[in-house]
Amino acid sequence: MSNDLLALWLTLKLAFLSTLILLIISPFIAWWLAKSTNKLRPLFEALVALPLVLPPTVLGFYLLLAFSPNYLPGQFWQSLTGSSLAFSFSGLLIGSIIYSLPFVVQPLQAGFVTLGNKELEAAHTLGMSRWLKIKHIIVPMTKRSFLLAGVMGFAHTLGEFGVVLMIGGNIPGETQVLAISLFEHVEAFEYQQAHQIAAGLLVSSLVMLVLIYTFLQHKDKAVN
Amino acid sequence: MTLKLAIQQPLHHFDLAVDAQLPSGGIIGLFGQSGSGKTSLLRAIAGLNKNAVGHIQFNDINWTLNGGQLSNIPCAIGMVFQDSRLFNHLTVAKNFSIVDKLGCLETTSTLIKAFGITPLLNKFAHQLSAGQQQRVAIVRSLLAAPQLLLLDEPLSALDNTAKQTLMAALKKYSQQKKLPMIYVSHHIEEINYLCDELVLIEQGQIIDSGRCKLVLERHHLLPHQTDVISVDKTTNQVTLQLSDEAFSQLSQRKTVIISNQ
Repeated sequence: MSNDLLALWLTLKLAFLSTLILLIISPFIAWWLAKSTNKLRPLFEALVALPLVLPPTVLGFYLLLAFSPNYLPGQFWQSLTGSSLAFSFSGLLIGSIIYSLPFVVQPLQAGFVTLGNKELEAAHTLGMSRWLKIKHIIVPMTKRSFLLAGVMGFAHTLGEFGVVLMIGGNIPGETQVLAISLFEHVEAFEYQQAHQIAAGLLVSSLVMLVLIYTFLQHKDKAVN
Repeated sequence: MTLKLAIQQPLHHFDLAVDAQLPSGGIIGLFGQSGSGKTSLLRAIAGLNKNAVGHIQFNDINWTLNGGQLSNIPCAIGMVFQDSRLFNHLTVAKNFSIVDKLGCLETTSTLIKAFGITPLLNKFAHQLSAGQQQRVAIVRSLLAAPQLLLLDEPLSALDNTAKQTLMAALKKYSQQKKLPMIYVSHHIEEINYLCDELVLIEQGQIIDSGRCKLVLERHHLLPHQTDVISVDKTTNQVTLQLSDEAFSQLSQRKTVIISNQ
């Protein structure tokens, strides 16, 4: 398999796993941010949103330090698995999750804020359990937020560059994702191959977003 | 039925302090003007008011409201809100099936028929009129098999015909199933028709309670009878005292037929 195909496979694997994990953990964070009146909420909200404004290299640099065996997270990982977290696929996955967190949490948080309390109060007085509330009210009423969050998380991970380069380097088959492969082709003046990757990423991201917005528009029409 | 309430609820304009014992089944009315604290009290009993602190005894069950989180009430207390609060993304049938605790298909379908919901079952909640939504909301609350049902002005959005039908169905259900209800309204006609007991509330305080008719009489609150106030023999003009409802109906008509019925 060529390096580019390996990079494509790795990128898809990374995007899929990141999105999956983000869709599992983000609803809890988003719910707390949407419903909590805790005074510390703005701090946590800012922490989640930080990757949106921070240069990816800054985040990548501190993650690289944290993943190295000189610091506690890296030491813990090494004692657990026997391998280093830096320059590994696992490290890349953790970095991607942190970097894409706001892209998944924020649509969900907006959905939970819009949901309001009326239906939940009604469910409370109907004796519905927490699980029934999640299954029949919260998820169905915010499913467009879940959909948007999933697509945004996936599309964002596909195009990740700065953080990946800092913590993963450029190891074919292990940490070399498409965006880095593209960068490598450009550096080597291989514009034909660079075009293939760049156009592929551009079209796939555009198609994904057009599909999701079309779907949501149809949903809005159906509701109205 | 024994219902003891001792609730303090710090609000911006008053503290609600209610301590009453209501030894009765049937329907208990809670009457007071807007802003008197009726809804706040109901929400506190239902465990929906995070600020409420106090103690509630319902029959043999005691629970404490301690502020903070929504309380997990150990017995089922249902509530019908002024706005129906149906789950609009679900059909009426699904709204029912996710809460149905009656555990008996026959009882469920009898209840659905009694409130005239059968033709609405396959419609989505948001496709229903306000009156239909409120009927569905009441049946949904009954299907959840509460031990006590709280109703917060559930008929305020309905026209008179729909009101009469629903009030009759509610009264019949309460009597048949011996389900105690607390019914909040500021419409004295509804209170007079439905309630066995009445609690008058003003600025968060209970000012009187007892048998409905007696309390209404004591406070001159019985719905107005049509009375002849005066007759001017020179102009042949008759002045009548009418209930608000009768007045609003009469004022839209050109011809009035006098009847002794």
